[in-house]
Amino acid sequence: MRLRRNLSAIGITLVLALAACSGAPEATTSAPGNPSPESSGGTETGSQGGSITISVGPEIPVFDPQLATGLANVGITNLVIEVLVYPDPETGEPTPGLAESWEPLEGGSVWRLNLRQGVEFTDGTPFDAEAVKFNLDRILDPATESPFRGRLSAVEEVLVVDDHTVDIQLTGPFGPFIRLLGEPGIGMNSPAQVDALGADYPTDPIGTGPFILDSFTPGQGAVLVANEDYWGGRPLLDEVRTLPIPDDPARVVALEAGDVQLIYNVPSQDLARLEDNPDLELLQAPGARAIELNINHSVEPFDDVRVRQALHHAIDKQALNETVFAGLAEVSTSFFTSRAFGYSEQEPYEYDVERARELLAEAGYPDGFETRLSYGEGLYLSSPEVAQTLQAMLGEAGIVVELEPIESATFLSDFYKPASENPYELAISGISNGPLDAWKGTQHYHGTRSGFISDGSNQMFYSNPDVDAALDTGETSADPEVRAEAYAEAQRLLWEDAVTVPLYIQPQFVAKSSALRDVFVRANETVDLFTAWLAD
Amino acid sequence: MLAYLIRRSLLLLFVLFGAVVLVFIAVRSIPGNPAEIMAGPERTPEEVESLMEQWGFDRPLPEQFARYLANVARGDLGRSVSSRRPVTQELAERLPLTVAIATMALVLGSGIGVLVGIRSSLDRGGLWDRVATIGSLTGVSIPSFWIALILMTVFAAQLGWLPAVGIRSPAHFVLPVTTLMLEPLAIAARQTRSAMLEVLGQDYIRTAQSKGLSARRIIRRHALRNAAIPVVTVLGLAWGSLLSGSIIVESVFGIPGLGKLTVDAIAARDYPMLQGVALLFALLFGLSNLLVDVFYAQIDPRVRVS
Repeated sequence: MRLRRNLSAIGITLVLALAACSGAPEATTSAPGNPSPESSGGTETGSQGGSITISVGPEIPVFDPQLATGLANVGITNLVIEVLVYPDPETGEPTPGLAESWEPLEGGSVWRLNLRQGVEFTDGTPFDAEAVKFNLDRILDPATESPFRGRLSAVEEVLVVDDHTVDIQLTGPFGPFIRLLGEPGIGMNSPAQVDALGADYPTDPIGTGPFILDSFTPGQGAVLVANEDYWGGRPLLDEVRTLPIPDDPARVVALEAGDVQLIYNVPSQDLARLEDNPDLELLQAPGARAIELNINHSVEPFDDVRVRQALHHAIDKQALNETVFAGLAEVSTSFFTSRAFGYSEQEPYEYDVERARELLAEAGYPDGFETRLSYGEGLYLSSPEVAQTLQAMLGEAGIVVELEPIESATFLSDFYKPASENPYELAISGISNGPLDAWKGTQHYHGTRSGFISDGSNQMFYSNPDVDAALDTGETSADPEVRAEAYAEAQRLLWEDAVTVPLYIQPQFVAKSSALRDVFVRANETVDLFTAWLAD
Repeated sequence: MLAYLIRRSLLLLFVLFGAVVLVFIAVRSIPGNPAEIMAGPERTPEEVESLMEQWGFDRPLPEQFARYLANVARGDLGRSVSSRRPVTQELAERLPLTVAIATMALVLGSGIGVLVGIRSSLDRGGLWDRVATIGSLTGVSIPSFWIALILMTVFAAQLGWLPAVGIRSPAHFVLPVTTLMLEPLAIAARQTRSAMLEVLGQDYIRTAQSKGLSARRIIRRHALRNAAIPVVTVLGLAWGSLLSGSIIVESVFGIPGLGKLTVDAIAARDYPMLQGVALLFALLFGLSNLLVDVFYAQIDPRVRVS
C-alpha cells in the first residue's frame, strides 16, 4: 500500500530527526524542544523569507493562551507567547523554554525554576521572576476566567527568590508538576501590556516568542510576523497567517487550491487523495490521546469483570487500526501511549471470539446481550468508522450494539454526569496526555479522588482501593523510580480488571504544501513553525 | 399609510420580544453549557462551577432573564463568553459582510431568475422552458454545502481561477455569492413563470394585444407589473432563507460573517452571543417582512384597508 509506505517513511524521518536532537537540554541555540534546522534530516538548509497561511480548523476566539480554548489554537498563540518548558515531541520530557532548568525541593512540594536570562518581551519589558509570578497568579485568579486554572490547582503560592529564580510552593508533593507547566495554556504574557490594556489585552498581546502578533481579527484570523530579536534566533518565515476553516472538506480543498499551506485535522477519507497529490505532503505527528471503549460499570452486565474481558477478547485492535487508520495508529498495549513516562506494557487479551463467548456464557449471557455504543460527532478522529467496526466485531461475539452518534458538546456534558444520571453504557472516549506522563493517563481511574486536580472524570464508576493507593503514590512522589513502580502496579491491576478497552492512540494527520519544510507537530496537538521555511 | 406602518412596527416589536424569550430558553435547554466547553473535554467540576458563577449563569432563570431584558433595553447585549468582547461590537463587525453577500445573491439571483421566468413563460412547453424548469428544480433541491464544495473543487482547486476560502478581495466573493444565489434564482424563475402565465391569460392582455401594442410593451407595462406581487412575496421570504443559508455557506468558505459566528457560538454554547445573533436575525427577518408588506400596500391599495 503506497500511502502507508510513504507515510511511515515520513514518520521515520521525523523520528530520526527528533532523535538526533534530543538530549542536551542546555543547548539554547535551537528552538525549544525542537531540532535546529540543520539537524532535521533534510539536506537543504532553510532559506529566510516567505509568508504562509495555516488553518487548524475552528477560529481562535481570543489571542491569549491563558484564555483560549482548543489545544491546536492555544498552540498557535504559543508562537507569540511562550511557555516555561516544552514537552519533547517524542518522550514528553520537559525541555527548556523560558525556564532553563528546574528542580523539586522538599520532596516535590516546591519546584524551583531557574529562568532564562537576558530575555525581553517584545515591548521591552524584561522577562524575569516577577513576570512568571504575575502570569501564574493571573491564571490562578478566578476573575481571569482562565480555563487552565484547574491545571494549576496544586499551586499554593508563587515566590520570587531573585530576578531569575522562582519557587512554586504546592499544597503537597506532586511529581508530574513540571510537565504541567508545558501545557500550551500556561503562556507568559508581558505584565506591562496586560496591566496597560486590561480586558482588551487579547487584541494586542505581547510575548517573548519567535513571532509577533501583527494583527488579529476575530473570525478572520491572525497575522504573525517574525521577531527579529528572538532569543533563539530569528525564525526563517517572515509571516504566518491563520485562517479559520471549520468545515473539514473545505479545509482540504483550500489546501489543494493553494489558499493555505498547512492544515490540521485531515479527515481520514481524504488521506489517500492528498497522498496522491505531488504538491502536498502528509505528516503523521506522534499523537498522545488514548482512545478507549469506555465501559459504565454501574450498568448491568458491565459490572461483571468477565463481560468486560469478553469485550476485550471480541475486539481485534489490529484489524481496527488497519480498517480505519490504514495501520497508522499506535495500538494500545496499556492505558496510554508507550512514549509517556511510567508506561508499562501489558499482556494483550488475545483476539478470540470463542473465548469471548465462553466468558459471556460464564457470566450468564450464553446468547449475548444488547447494548448501546455512544460517541460524540466530530469529537475524535473517525469515530463513526471506529464505532461501526466495533459494532461488527462485538456482533460476532453475540453482543448486539446499537450505535448512538451525539452532538459533541451534548455528549461531553452527559458523559461527565454521575452514575445515576449517566445515560451511556459503552462510549468512545479520548484521554489527552499533553504532559506525556502516566499520571495524566491514569488519574481518571481513581475511585475516590484525593490529592490534586480532582477531575471527577471516572466515567467507568470504578473503584479499587489498591489502584487508588498506587495512583496516590505515583502522584505525590517526585522520585522517578518510585513513581514508575507505582504506575506499573496500577496499570497491571486496571488491565486485569478490564476497566475499559483501550483501543489505540489517536494519530494526528497534518497536511502541508511540499514547499513548506521543517514543520514539527508536538505530542500535545500543537504545531511548531520556528524552523519552518519555504522552498522555491 | 402611517397608521399602517405604526401598526406593523408594533407587531414587529412583539415578535422580537417573543424571539428573545424563545431563544433565551432554547439556548439553555441544549445539553452542555459554556463553562463545560471552555474547560475542555477533561475538566474538574470545580472549574465548571466557578466559570458558571463568574458569568452569572448559575443564577435562577427568571433573575437572569430580567437582568438580560434590562440590559437589552439599554442596548447592551452582554459580552461573548468565548471572545470576551461585547456582543454588539462583534455583531456590528460581522453584519455588513453577511448582508453584502446575501444582498448580492438576492439581487443577482432574482434578477437573472425573473428574466429566465419571463423567457420561459413566453415559450411555454418549449425547450427553453423545460431546461429552465429542470434547472430551477435542481437549484432548490441541491443542498448548498454540496454546491459550495463542488464549486470550490472545480474553480479553485482544479482550474485555479478563483480563491477557495476567506474574504480578502472581490474575487473571494464570486463562489459564495454564486452558491447562495442559486436558490433565489430558482425561486424567482419559477414564480415569475407561473405569475406571468396567469397574467398573460387575462382579458386585459388580450385587449392590449387587440389594441395593437407590441409584445415588448405588453410585457413591460401590463404583464410584469401585475405579476410582481407574488414574486416580491416569495423574494421577501427568500431573503430570510438567504440569511439562514449564510450559516452553512460562511462555514464552508471560511467567511467571518454572522453565519459563521452563529455556528461558532452554538459550538461554544456562547449564550450571550447566541441570543444576540438570534435577536439580530429576527430583526432582519422582521424588517424584510415589513418592507414586503409596505411594498404591497404601495402597489395594492386594498392591503392597507384590511
